[in-house]
Amino acid sequence: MRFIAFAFKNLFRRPVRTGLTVLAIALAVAVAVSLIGFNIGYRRSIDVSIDKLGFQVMIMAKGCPYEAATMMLKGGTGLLYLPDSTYEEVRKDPDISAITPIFVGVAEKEASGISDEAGSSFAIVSGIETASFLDMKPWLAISQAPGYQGGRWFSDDSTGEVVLGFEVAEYEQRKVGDSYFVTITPHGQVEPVMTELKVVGVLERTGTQDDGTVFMPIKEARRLFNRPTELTIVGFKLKNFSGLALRQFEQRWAKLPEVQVVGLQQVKTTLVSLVETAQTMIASVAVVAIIVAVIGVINSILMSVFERTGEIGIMKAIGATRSDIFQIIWLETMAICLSGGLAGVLLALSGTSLVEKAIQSLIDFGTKGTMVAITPQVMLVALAGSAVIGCFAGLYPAWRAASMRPVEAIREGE
Amino acid sequence: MNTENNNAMLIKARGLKKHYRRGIETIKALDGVDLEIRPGEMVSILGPSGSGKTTLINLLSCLDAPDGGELEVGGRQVAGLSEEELVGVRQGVLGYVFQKFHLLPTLTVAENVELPLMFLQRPVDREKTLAVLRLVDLENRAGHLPRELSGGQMQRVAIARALIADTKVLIADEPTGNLDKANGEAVFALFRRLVAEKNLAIVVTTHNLALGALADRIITLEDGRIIEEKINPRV
Amino acid sequence: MKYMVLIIILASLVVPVTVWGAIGCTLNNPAQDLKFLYPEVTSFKEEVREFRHFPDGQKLYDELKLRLGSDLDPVYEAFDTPYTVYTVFKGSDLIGIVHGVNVPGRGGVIQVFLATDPKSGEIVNFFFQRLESPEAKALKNRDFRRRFNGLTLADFYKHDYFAAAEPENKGDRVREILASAGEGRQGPDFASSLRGVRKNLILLDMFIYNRRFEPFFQRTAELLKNKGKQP
Repeated sequence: MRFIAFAFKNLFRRPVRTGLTVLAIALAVAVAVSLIGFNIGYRRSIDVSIDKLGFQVMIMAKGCPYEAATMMLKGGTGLLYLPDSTYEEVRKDPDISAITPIFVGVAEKEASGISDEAGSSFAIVSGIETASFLDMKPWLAISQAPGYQGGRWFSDDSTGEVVLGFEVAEYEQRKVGDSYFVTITPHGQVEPVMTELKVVGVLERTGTQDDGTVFMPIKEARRLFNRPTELTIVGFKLKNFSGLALRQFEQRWAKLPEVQVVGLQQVKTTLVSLVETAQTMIASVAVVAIIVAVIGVINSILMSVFERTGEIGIMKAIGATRSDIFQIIWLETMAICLSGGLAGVLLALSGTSLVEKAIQSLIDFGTKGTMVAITPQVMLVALAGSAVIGCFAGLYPAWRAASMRPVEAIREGE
Repeated sequence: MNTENNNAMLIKARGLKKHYRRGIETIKALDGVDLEIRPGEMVSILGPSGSGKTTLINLLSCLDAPDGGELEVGGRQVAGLSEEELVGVRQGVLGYVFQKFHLLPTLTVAENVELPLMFLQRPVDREKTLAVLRLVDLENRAGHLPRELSGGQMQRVAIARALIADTKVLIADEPTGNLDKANGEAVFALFRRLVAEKNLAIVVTTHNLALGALADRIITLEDGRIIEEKINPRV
Repeated sequence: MKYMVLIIILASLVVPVTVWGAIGCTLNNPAQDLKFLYPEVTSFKEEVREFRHFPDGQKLYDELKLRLGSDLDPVYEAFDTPYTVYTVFKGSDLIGIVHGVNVPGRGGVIQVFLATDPKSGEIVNFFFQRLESPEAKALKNRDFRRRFNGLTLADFYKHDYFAAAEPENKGDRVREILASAGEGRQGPDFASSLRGVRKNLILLDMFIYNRRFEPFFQRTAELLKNKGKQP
């Protein structure tokens, strides 16, 4: 390390060349940092969007339909239930960031249609635990539109209260404070029981299945359906959502008998591959930029080594060992790469908004605000990366310089 | 002529050989040279181009390894040593001056002079640096950069650099090749002074017979052999 | 925007969305239902009427409340609520009008459908498309519903007059029906259903029958006013 100052002084002999080399590294690092920052920002915004999808994974009994469409196909039958113990077991999984139990039941609607023989209809009733459910679907909001003023969620212990999805309220022409009839055949009985419930809230429209769902406390739903210790769906969010995490989670719990793990397939295949594609693209661009810069560094240092052949010979003659020469040249390369890395990070920081505009003008991602997130970690990684690059880029020129034989070096330099 | 015993001999060569291959031809750059260098003497090596002057001086200075013969430098056998070991032999014993000065342009005169200390991992003592510079009459130029100096001054800096590490033998390969007559003479005058004041041994090659004649011993090479060895009667 | 659109599309793939639409009242299966009501039907038209599309829409809407004699629900019986009128043809002959309305019931919506004669405006068929209520059985009873056949809006206005002025008059056909309903007529959904029938007829009068029955309303109001009674 005693050669640090010496190496720096050597670099200042050719300020233009050194400057250009540093600039090349700086640009490459800036590109890499911006792209990585963009990648992180992009990933974050996708995470936010994934977050908005609610559950990322659900666990339910094998063969149980959970989508409204499937339930309709099955005429509201075919729901299968899991014991409470499954929920207690699964909630211990360390990878989950949120979990909520849901009891889905199907309430009959009296035959609708003009002829008395017309088929029966049904309503989807979801028994939920409000706190954890809303944690999962934070966008669910109680509407305060005309007719729905004073709406609120029920407490988990309340009885006789329901919150209606927007479409249900509209379809049944219910307002807050109105009565709502549900006709349910309790488990193990044959006669349906009509229960009069009170509408305490109506949800704002979500554009999802929730619009067509009648919500009530999970205890109440279990009581009405006479399934006091069962549930239909366990919904999850994972701590670090990725295709891999999802697959691992699925594999872990698909082992339970009688259980199916349902990841949101579209999320998995599309969003995750979107992220991964972007990552691959970005990585390849960054890698190319860095390779070009490294070649530039090696070239520039080699040139200076060849130029200084005579000097290196003299240094050897006056007592420098191979390792001394190696260190000097290697330090010079490191210095170029590190200052390039530093300059690149600064460039990326100051140029972030420009880069962002450039990227957005090329590809419209529809997101506002900062897409490029240059975190301290990214900066550290960039600097460490430049150091590593310097280490490798310096190896060959340093080796070349160190292996010069003093006699020949001096003679060549004469 | 100096009459000290063999142990005080700084360089002792017996039957030194160095062959180069050029295609299928073998060039005998040195073909059996015997030479001894003692403290406090200046030896000049004369000879036409290709006579083996530089080869000899490279061997003597341990910058190159002989193909045959024996060589002892500072009391150590040189034959068969690795490059790193040769560095060890050179360090602190041998100092070099070349035709080109090879000063580092970004370092000041003083820093250039101190450069060997960095490689020898010895502490830098500015007082000593200045003392060495005083020897070459450049004390007042310590803070200057090489480009601010004349050719003669630069060569003197190179000499100071060769002396800084308590060198016992100064080896100079055509030290006046890039200098005009006056500066060349000044360099040789300096050499004489160093031999006298510092008990230094100096081996110098030169084309310049007049300058060469200033040495204590004058050795003439031709085709890799010593054809003449004169002791300067004037010294 | 591309990205958000993608998310929305994905979300809708993940969770099927119930069809959005204005809160009207349409037949679940018009072709089948109309064939059931009019076996000889060859074609039908589905026309959507809204007050706001009429030049004097606001006036008509205000009159609806007046002629119905009860407040309109501000959310579900609004100015922009669409009404779907089915006109039923046999060849080129208009053979029937079918129209349904929503009225809020006690525990859910009640959908009251009427099939009427295109010329006379008489009720040809009265049925519920949706009705969930403890009273449903009584209301959906076929014999009870058949009693409405042959009535026009005029009969309801007459009933208003008779009920207030001459309770024993044999000409009050609506009173007969109410009397025959027995126990069921006590409940709130019974009243809502009748309100639905009346609302349905008034809307048909406005949309289809050129307000032919409006004079009966005026006359009832006048007569009752002269007698110092409220309908």
